[in-house]
Amino acid sequence: MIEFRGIEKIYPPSITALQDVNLKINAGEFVSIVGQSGTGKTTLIKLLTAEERPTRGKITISDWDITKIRRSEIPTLRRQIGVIFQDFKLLPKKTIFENVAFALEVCGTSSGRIKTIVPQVLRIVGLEEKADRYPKQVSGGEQQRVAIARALIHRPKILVADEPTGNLDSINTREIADLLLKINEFGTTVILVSHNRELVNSLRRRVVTLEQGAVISDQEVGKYVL
Amino acid sequence: MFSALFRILKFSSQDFWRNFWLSTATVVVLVLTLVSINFLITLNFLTKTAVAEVENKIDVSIYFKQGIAESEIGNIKSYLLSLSEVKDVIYISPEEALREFEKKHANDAIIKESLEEVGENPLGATLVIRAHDTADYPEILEVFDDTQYANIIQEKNFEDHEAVIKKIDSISEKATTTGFGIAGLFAVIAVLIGFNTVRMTIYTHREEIGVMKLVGAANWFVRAPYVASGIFYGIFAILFTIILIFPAIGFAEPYLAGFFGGSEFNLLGYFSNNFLQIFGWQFVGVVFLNMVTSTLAVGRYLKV
Repeated sequence: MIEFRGIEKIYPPSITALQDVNLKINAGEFVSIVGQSGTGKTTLIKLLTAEERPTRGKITISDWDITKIRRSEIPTLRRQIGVIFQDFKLLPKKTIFENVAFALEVCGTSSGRIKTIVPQVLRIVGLEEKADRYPKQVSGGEQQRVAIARALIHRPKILVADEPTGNLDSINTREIADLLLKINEFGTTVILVSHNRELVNSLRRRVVTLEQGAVISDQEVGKYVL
Repeated sequence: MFSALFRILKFSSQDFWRNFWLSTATVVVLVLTLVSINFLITLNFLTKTAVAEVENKIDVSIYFKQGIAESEIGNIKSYLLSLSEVKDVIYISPEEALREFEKKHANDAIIKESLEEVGENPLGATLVIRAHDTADYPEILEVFDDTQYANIIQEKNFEDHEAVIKKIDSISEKATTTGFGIAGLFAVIAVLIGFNTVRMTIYTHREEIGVMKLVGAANWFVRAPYVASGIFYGIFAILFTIILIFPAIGFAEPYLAGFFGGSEFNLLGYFSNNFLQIFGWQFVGVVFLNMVTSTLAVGRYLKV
């Protein structure tokens, strides 16, 4: 479903972030991408969300070549891929409800439908009671759950989690991991970028290891090998 | 369409109130900019009033020889009044001229004695001419250079005033040019301040703009609420400026009127009569500036 073919990314003047990356991720898979800092994990995600373009190579999502994507098509792509980040990237001046609703408002969903769907998704992540609070009024784990709710609101086929537990304690980390597994069970492809050895090993799913911008290991039921 | 417009206005007003202090700071800077522009308009008005006041005090007198028929002088008066450059012509009869002369020199014994010795009124009639513009006097008085008037005119005092008139014309011209120059400079400063203020406001929102893009917002959907906020800033700025300007003028007007010696001076009237022209253009200017600045500033952070 997602294919990286011969991907190379060089930042000017000559910093190689990724080199000859070939990777296939099937629909419904749960893949962890691991590696030390600066090995190109986040760059790989940025290429997938069209935040960056590869210097060489081709990325396809269900036969859609996103390396040739037009600027006007990027919003459409991003509505199909849910993304969560280490720093949550919530809108600080919007309430939890408004943060989640915003992802629907940008694509013109009616107010009535928003009022129906958002509480449902907030219920899934256990935040229905805190819908009127602002991000800074809830804990880090809860902020990440808001981000997950926002990422799920479009029922995306792909969920990308870029170091989602990087700012969380072990209890919240476990909760987020369980939530990601649950989402995967419903059929969503989950790509988890992490350098949390314990978390990756506990998942017992496919692990792709990057080193100096290249894939050095790809195991079906892998472990954090570095 | 209406739903998108409603959402843009909703986001914009939410942003305005939830970032209250940032919005207030932006509006305050814009108000200060507009107040500076209005101060300049006031200064320009005061300069023009002062120059007009001095110009108004200038007139030219044509002194006729004794015995010239009043009807003949009346014809000349009618002719002068028919000229578009002439504002007013006053006829002073020989008797009136004598009365004024006596009044003026009431304490001068020698003049009094001299008048008594002459026995009759030695003064002729006078026409006092006032032009709309001091620069028009030479043209108006050209007619009296004709030889037919040489026999009936005793004297004209234009030559006495010529240097003063030229000086006033020069001051008036310089005041206008300087006024335009300062206005231009102020306008540039105002535009730069307004531009930077809105740019700084948007700079503080750069991360939010990035997040909006990452969750799939189209560029126009991200940009529009900020542009709408720019319009709101403009509306609030112009309203607060009007609220500040009128009481300030009301307070200062009696002092300024005293300075101009109770002559025709109405700054409040000037601002009221030209309300739409003055504040309408300022509104259009500040809103246009904010819209352009917001559009450009947001554009920098849309490349996510």
